[in-house]
Amino acid sequence: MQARWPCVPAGARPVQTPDLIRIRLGVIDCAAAVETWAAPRLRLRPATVNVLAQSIVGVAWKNAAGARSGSILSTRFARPLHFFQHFSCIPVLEFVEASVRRPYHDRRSYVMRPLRYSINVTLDGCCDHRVGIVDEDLHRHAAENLAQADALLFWPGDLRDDGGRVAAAGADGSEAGLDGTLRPDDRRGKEVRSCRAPWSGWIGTRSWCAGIWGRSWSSSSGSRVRAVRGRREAPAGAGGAGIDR
Amino acid sequence: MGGVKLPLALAELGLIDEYEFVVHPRVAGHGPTLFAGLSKYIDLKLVSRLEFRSGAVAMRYEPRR
Repeated sequence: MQARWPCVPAGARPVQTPDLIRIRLGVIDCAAAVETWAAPRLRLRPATVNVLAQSIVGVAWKNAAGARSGSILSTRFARPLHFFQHFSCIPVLEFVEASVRRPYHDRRSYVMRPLRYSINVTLDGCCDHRVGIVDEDLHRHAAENLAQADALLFWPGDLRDDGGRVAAAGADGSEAGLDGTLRPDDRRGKEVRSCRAPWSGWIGTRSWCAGIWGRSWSSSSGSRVRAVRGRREAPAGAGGAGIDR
Repeated sequence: MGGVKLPLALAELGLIDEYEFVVHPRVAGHGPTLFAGLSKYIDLKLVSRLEFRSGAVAMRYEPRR
């Protein structure tokens, strides 16, 4: 029954927890895949969808060269393995593809993108964003950083609202957006989408995570399904922003 | 990415591949400070450096692994 799970590239060896957590950034989207793709096809009840979505776990691997890759694995939920016989991994990975890249020919194997942390800081280490110097060069630099990013990670407590630089998430973390001056690239049509982490205790605290993904993402499941279809059909480099650099 | 709390958690777990600090030529005299509460040292390797006319310097580091 577990024939295709997990899919481990040749030469891969398992890595420790941090990488597991890291690919869980993609698991958030797996939950969305269950909701929007698997649920209608398998006619799952909402309660089942919830459990199922929480049961998908990504596993990260390192190959001999140290490159990270990930496979999507469903193990946590003991009973629904029969679901996964019908549950092709392809739509799941359509979602994960927004944040990872394929290292091998194997379609179930992906490399995690590098994660860059950028912060303004004063000479004495203060990182209050109201303290920094504002000038055109720095502004351009920040805008370039944002433009290069395929996805942005926010933590609701960090979203800023003052000065109109970065709009805050709603109180419930449901929606967030960039506005005004630092919008990364309007042509990409990026918007912020936030998801409930489907597990508690993620990185130490029950948390919300918001990412900016490709165009057409929104909180309604119908449009998410359309977005996936569009992503699959879009020619490389056109509208695929957020997938390929 | 900006902010403080999430990066602290990510840095603790070794998940950040590249750190960019844009150091502004100013002394604030107060916090919040970066990565306050980090439980271990993170050793970094300088990979690039960019100076701005204002005197600010953007430095990019990768963790030494």
